Parts: sequence; C-alpha cells; structure tokens
Amino acid sequence: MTFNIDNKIRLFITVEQRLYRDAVLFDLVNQKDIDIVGESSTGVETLSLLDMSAPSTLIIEENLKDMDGLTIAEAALLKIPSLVVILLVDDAISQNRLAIYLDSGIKSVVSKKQSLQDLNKSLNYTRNGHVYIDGERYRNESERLKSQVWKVENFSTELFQLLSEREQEVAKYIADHIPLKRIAEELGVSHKTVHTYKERILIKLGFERLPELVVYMKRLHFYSLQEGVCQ
Amino acid sequence: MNDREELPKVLYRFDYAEDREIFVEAFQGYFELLICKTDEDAKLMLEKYGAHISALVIDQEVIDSSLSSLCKSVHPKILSIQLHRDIALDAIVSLLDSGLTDKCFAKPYDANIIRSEIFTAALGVDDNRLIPLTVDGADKTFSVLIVDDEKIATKFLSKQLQHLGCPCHILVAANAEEALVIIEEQKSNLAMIISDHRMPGITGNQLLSEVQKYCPHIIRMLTSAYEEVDIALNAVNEGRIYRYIKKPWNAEEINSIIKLSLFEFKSRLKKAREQELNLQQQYQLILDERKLNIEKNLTEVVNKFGGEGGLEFFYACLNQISPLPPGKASLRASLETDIETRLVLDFSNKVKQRLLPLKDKLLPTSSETVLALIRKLCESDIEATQHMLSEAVCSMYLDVEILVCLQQLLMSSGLDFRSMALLDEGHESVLKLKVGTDLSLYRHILSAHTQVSEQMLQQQCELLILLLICRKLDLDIAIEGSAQSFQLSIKLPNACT
Repeated sequence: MTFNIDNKIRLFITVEQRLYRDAVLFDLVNQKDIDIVGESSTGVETLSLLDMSAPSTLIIEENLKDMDGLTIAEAALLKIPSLVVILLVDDAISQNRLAIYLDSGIKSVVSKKQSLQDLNKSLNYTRNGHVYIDGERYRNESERLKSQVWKVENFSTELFQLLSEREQEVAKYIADHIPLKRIAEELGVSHKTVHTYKERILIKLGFERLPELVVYMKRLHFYSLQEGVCQ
Repeated sequence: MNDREELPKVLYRFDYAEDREIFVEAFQGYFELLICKTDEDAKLMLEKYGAHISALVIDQEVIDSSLSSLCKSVHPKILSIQLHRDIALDAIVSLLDSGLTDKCFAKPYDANIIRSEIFTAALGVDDNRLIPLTVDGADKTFSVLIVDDEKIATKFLSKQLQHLGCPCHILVAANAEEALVIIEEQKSNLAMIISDHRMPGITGNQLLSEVQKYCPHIIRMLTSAYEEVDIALNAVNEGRIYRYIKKPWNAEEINSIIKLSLFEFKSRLKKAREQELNLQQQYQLILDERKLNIEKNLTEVVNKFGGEGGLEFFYACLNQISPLPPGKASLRASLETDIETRLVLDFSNKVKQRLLPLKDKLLPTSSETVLALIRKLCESDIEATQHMLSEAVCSMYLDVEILVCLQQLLMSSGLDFRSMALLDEGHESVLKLKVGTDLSLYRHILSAHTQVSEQMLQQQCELLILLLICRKLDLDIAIEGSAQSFQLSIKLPNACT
C-alpha cells in the first residue's frame, strides 16, 4: 500500500491515435492535481508499463490495435485492484452495456463525442475510486434536445450577452492572447480589476479554464461571420 | 434501467415547496419523479411501484423517517438518500447506526453526484468489491486495529476491551504510517480498523480512504473528539466508513460495536463465498453450452481438414492457460446480451473462412524453404516481415501458413518474429520464443467474456489453425500455459523427407 498523501491523480493514458492522445494530454498536463505517469498506444505495452509507472487512474480507449481496451482494463485491474479505469468509447453506449462495464470494475465511461470538460468531470469524480455515471448521457431524449437547442441559441448570442460590455471587451482581448497587464493598461484600470473581470467571465460562461474561453470566442467569431454571410 | 425511454423511478418526499423546486429543476428529465408531500402518499407509491423504484430521496429535516425504515425493510435494494440543510454530527452517527440511509447530502448539493448514485443503483451495479478469497477461515479469530496518536488512551482502551472479552485480537498503531505497515502484514487476518481522525501527518480520514482503495473488505470506523460534520458526511457518502464513533471512548460501547462489526464482516465473507460459488456454477453451465455449440458448428469442418480430435487438441491446449476469471460482468454479459451466440457464430465463421483456402494447399516435400524464411523473419523489422509474409501466403505449401498464424499471435502480444529464435538441434530445428518472452492470452474461446472483440476472435482463430496445421503436418507443437500467457515451440524437420 503506497500513501498518496496529496491525493493527486497519477494518470496513465492509452490511446492509439497520437493526435488525439496529445490533445487530451495537453489539456490535462497543466492541471495541478494530475501527474501524467505514462502513455501508450497499445494494450499489451500498457500492461507491461503498469508496475513501473504505478498509476492511480488509467484512461484507456475501447478499440486498440492489439487487444480491446476492456480486456486490457480487466487485466490491469487484476494487477492493481485499486486502479481507477475510465474507458473511452467511440459512441454513447446502451445502459445494459454500461452496467457490464461498471460490473467489470470500470469506474466511468466517456464517449469520444463528449467534451474535455466531461472527461475532466469523470476524472475528478472517480479519483477516490467511485463509480461516476454522467447522467446527461442517459437523460430523456426530449429534455436533452431542449438543452441542446438552448446551448446552440446561447452559443451564438445570448450566452455572450450575459456579459457586461466591459466583460465582453475583456473576453475579446483574452481571446487575442493579450496579457492581463496590457489589457489593464488599454482599459485604464488596475491589473486586479481585469483579473476580477476574467474570473466573472469564466463563471458567467460556465468555464473552468482560459483555453475554454479562447475556443468559445473563436467559435463565436466564426459563427458571427457565418450569420453575417447568411444575412 | 432497461430502455432509453424507461427512466429510473425516484420517489421524492419533501416538506417545503422551495426544496421541491430545486430538486425538480436538477433531476427532471433524468428520472421519473414520484413526488410526495406526505408519508401516506409516499407509502402508496412504494406499494404501487415497489422494487421498480431505484431511489428514495427524503428532503426533510428529519433523521428517523418511518418511510426510510419501511423502504429498507420491504425493498432493501432501493437506494435511500437524505438531503439536509443543517445536519449535526450526532445525526450522522445515528444515521450510520440505523443503517436505513445509504447516502446523506448537505445543501447545496452536487446534483451530478446524486444523479450518478441513482443511475448506478438503477443499473444494479454494486460498487463494493468482493472480499478477496485469500481472506479465509470464517471461524478463526480476526483482528481489530486501533489507530490513535494518544498512546496512553489506546493502551487503556485495549486493556479494557481485553477485560470485556473482546472477540478480536487487538492491534494498535500510534499513527497512519505504523498502521499501514500492520495492515500490509495482517491484511488476511484484519477484520476492522478504528482510526482517530486528527493525528499528526496523515489523518484518519486519509488513512481509511487508502484502506478502502487497497483492502476494501476491511470494515472501517472513524473516531473523533471534534464536530467534523463535513469529514463525516464525506466519509459516509463515499462508503468509506461503517460507523462514526464520538470521543471520549466508552469501552463497553466500542466492544459492542466490534462484536456487531465482526458479525457484519463474517456475513460479508460468507456472502462473498456464496456469490463466488454461485458464479462459478452458473458460468460452468454457460461454458458447457458454448462448447457444445462450437462443436456442432465446427467438428465436421475441422475433422475434414486435419482428422479427428482437432478441437479436443485445441481445448487441451487452452485448458493449460489461465485466462481472466469470470465475474459479475461476464455473467451479466452472457445472460443478458447476445454475446454467447455471437462468440459461437463469429468464431465458427472465422475458422471456416480461414480453413477454406487451406484445404487446397500442398503438403510440403521439404521444410528448407520455410526454415530459410523463418531465419530471415527472425532478423527483420515489422515492415519487412509483413512484406515477406504477404508474398509467402501465395505459396502453394501449407507449412508457410504456420508463419501467418504465428505473425497474428505475436502481434496480439505486441511482439514480432524478432522475439522468436530458431534453434538447430541436429535432425530438427525448434522454433520457440526467446527467454523471458511470452505470448499474451487474456481470454480464450472457453473463458469468460464481457464482450466479443475482433482481436480476440482473430487470435483464437489463428491459434486453432496453427494447431490444426501442425497436426496435419505431423509437427510436434508444445504449449505451456500460465496466467494470461503461454509459451510455444514447434519442431520442424531439417532434412528432406
């Protein structure tokens, strides 16, 4: 038994496609409570590296070239029963399938069609070894559609309109990668005030980190251009 | 949860309209909410829907709800949740003691966690891992470990417990580090651990969290002299603790808690063994039927290719290898999905397709060609190997197909021909894996499965074909199995025959 006093997630990730693995790693590597301890593109290699890397969490793709991810996950759990396994599947799975995965010791299942935020949620909720099911995946179809429509409508205009004029201005600067200090100079306010604007923007838009805001602003810009063309 | 349309039913009992609004906002659409303002209405719902209800949520500022009591006695599998605005430590202690509530959340609650708990309950997934079968002997004297930095108090309690005829050996540790060493040494004898929360260094809560991860079968209890409601609630909701004992300790009370916990531990042990036995028996029936169906589909075609006994030879080789053991997941997959039909049909079809072109291949008159090819393959990288094999499959001779089978088996283990060696032993050469190298085999056609994977089917098919070709060519092939892996060697004649 090794003591994980800081309760950091020691993460091993097994994803076959390099680009996809990099994208996930680049998002996770900056998180203070996550240590990336290993990566692999194949199942057999993952198993051979487990002893050395001693991960607390394994994110593993369902379809690997040498063996399926579920079998590898079960073999990994036989080696390290305390391992938290998050299975990445190509598409949403049925509830029956989910029950089988969870019975086999998988703690959470995330579809590749979900966002990085969802993967982060699963990582966070399972860190102490508990099962986490993202209810959104199994929500009543009509309710889910309603919420999707809501999201799309707000994506174009309403969500951004929740921000004050000043906050919108700051969001645009941030999206252009202007440092907070320079934004403060441009707006003639203190650095602390700009920092407060940034925090408020993130809260109002429901984001946790700056890259989410930057991507949102890029999409908003692109969407506005499209609307302009349509008009 | 059966179909997407059928949402899990949640029985919700509330007192205040504002609580109800918040709850409905957070859970509507995810569950079918059976909302009740009175216990009478809730009891009617419980009677009407019974075990079809996945969770009972009590959103009242009460601890001893007659509704939870009724629910647990009639339908113990229904998840019982309490939501509280303010909850005192005493209330948490009595909630744990009564065993009527599974989870208790303080407001404002995290709806994600509650949804996940309800979905987990609705799927019938048991988050508690089984007791390892290494913990043996229901009649032996188990131990209790008491962890507290107040050494004098622990010593005094230990003596009092002995005096009171405590049914367990008493072990003590002055801190979490010492406790971990004892747990590591004594884990097959340890039934429970009672840890103080506030200790220098690692806290009791952290210690129990680690014990939960590594030895989930050990019953865990937290003690504290302080009103740490958050710690206690969190520990309860994460299933970390069985009891919360308030300090100062009362030896008689602790002795009766130990007796109760020991009874619980032994019941869990017994239940785990019964479940294991039941699972083995059920799975054996499934395997017998699967074997019969495979034989129905393949015996004729296999015998036609290589003579009688081909499948039996394959089974005998598989039986030497220990695959991943059956579990609740594989049993559920076999009973509730089409996995058994697919395993038999997909495997049989694959073997038939693979055998079809082989029946026209010629038996070799010399093994020189194949030996030369093996020597080249053992020194080539993956690309060159693939190139050579794609040319070799056009060969008219059957023995070259051995290499195609081996290539697939090596690939399934993340290896290639460079992991094999061809040893000249006079009149014959032995093709075998290099020292320290194994072929992986996590599941085989006669083992437990949680899904049918193309990779597994391919691996199994190539192993069967390899064995059949070797039998047909009268080549000596040996398989030595171990846990989820095996060693393989094939003897090939050197001289012309």
